[in-house]
Amino acid sequence: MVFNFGLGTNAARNAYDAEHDILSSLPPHPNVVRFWSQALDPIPDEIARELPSTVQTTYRLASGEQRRRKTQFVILDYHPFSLDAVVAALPHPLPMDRIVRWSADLVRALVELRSNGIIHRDLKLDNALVAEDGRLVLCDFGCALRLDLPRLEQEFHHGVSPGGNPAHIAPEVWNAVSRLAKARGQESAQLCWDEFYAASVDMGLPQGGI
Amino acid sequence: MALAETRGRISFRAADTFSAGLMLYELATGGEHALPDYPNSFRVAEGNMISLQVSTLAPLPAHAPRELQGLICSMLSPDPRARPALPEVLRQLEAMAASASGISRGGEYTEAELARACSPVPLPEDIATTLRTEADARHAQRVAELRAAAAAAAAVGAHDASAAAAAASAGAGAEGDDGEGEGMGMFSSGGAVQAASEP
Repeated sequence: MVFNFGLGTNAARNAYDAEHDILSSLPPHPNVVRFWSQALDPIPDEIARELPSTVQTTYRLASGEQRRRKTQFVILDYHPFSLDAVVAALPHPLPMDRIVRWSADLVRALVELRSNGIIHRDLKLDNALVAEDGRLVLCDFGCALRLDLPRLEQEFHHGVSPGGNPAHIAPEVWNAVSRLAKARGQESAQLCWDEFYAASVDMGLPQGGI
Repeated sequence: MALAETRGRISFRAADTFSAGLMLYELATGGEHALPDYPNSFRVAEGNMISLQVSTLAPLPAHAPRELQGLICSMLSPDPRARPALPEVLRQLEAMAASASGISRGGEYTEAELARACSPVPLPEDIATTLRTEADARHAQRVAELRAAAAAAAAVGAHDASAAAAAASAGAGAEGDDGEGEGMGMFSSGGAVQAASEP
């Protein structure tokens, strides 16, 4: 699987940084999508040759235009199914053993992330894949944060959104963002570093345990 | 209001636990959101804040174990400090997996038993085939769109970058990720390709 990031926006830049920095630092885990490489377009031949033929086809066709832009790629393990599509396709109700296995897979991935000081912040069925063997694999780390002060300061330079899908963001995060927005007299807010720090954020840094 | 007055604690520590609770509920119900119309229907007038009551959680399907309902409720607690730690959530899920696979020894399981109970189960072949066929069709459509865009770009001249970009945009993005990833895309085997879009 190859993700491309047109780096013309802060959102895309932040997402690329998160996806690359976080995934490339993690040890392999069966329930977290595996990072293989990154490349500035064009993808080097030795990497492109290893991509599935369908990816090579679409990459060759699309990259001519994208080569005129500043585009960066991350190359990840490919898993064929999104959990969202699988849940929609399976007859309901799902067997309980499958529900519990996938749930355990998800939480196992989160425990692994937390032990590496990382929070995902965009958990939803869309952002989980199902591998050929049936295991759940967590992906899409574009909103993820490393709970490390220097890195947080760097990542918050452009302002960071409260998270991914609004329907899955925890209420305390919504309410903190609302307080910041109200302080600024705005309807919505991104969290910028000074405000983030000034608000005495409990970031769940590693010394706090999990 | 001065910024100092906003001082409070944003607990990111347990935010993933809340989202994971929603995902577990979606898995158990086949995609239903545990808190319909969240967050909008939970907003209170003052300050656009959210007020959440766990009692608003609709019950899981009858075949779900009571323990799972209880676990999800605790993960969705409005108070992040009341949510269980992730290792504890995992311990409970593994015990449920063991029970669901027919191992029942009062909550005491060996690592081998838990590994067996939690081992992945491949999708039914007919479902996997259907999903692959759908993905192949999307991929074929995307290739056709890209070829058309490339042909259009060639027609307006290789040096006219803006026209080429417009042509590429016209063929872009059969399948996006709900629009949040502006400027991002994916080349995936058998899946969608979304051309990067500039603002």
